[in-house]
Amino acid sequence: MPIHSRIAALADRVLPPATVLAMLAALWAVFLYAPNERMQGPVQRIFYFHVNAAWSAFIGFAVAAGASALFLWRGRASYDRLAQAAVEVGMLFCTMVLVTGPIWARPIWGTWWTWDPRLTMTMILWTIYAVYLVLRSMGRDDPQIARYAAVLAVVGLLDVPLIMVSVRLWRGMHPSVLASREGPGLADPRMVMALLVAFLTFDLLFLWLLRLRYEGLRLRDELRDLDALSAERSGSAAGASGLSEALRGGGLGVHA
Amino acid sequence: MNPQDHFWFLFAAYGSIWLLLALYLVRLGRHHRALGRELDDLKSRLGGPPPPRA
Repeated sequence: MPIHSRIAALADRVLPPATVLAMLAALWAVFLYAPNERMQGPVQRIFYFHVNAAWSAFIGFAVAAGASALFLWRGRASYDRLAQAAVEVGMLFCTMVLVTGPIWARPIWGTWWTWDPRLTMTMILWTIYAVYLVLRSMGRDDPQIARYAAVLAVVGLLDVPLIMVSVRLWRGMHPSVLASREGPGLADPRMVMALLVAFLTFDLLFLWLLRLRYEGLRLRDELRDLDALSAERSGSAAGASGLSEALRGGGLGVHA
Repeated sequence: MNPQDHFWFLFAAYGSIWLLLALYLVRLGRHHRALGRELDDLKSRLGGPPPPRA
């Protein structure tokens, strides 16, 4: 068995239970171990998952940009699949960020949304990669669209460093994660520990979802190739048209 | 705002995270099942018996 197949088999065995255990540990750390924040009270606990969802989204988009760059350079379908899977999983985490952020902001800032630089840049990031997914669902088999989408994935990553420096650069309302002008953002070491446990959990969750999605896309591509081969062998495309239609038209439910 | 009201926001935030995650996992599961069905279909068209399903 090739080494990458062995790693994949090991990941399939280890990642699900490891993620579940880490999630239980993270919930314990966030709700029972970390103390209440003095000023914000219990609502500050949103922060542990909100921040780590943001990190997982950034990791997802970075993986997508790297894989897209490799796809543009080498043209291998596996890089394209990895990019597509990473964008989709990154979008899930980015959506979590955009949903939990306003829920935290309402009791703390008194408003659900404000056009703060970090919030605005995050919304732009979400929109860029939403366009990527729309592009992919529009032209699944079109290599030209795959290349356009890859360029978008690479360019979209430029927004991530802007989000990270936006608090200091434009002096927005959004709090800094670990330090602020007023002093340390996480005063208690138990809060730092809860953040780190949640960080590990979200990394494992990201890897597991990425693996699942990548495998789905790989299987879809293999089926498409087998279908084409079957149609070729039978000498008529009519026999395979049903499957081809399902593969292209979403009968499998596999979009982007 | 009453600090007790903050619990509602905490519940809403974590509830939305679990909901999004659950929806995505359900979607992935549906995709994989559909792919499995198509694989069985293709194998039967190619002449082989479909593999036994767990």
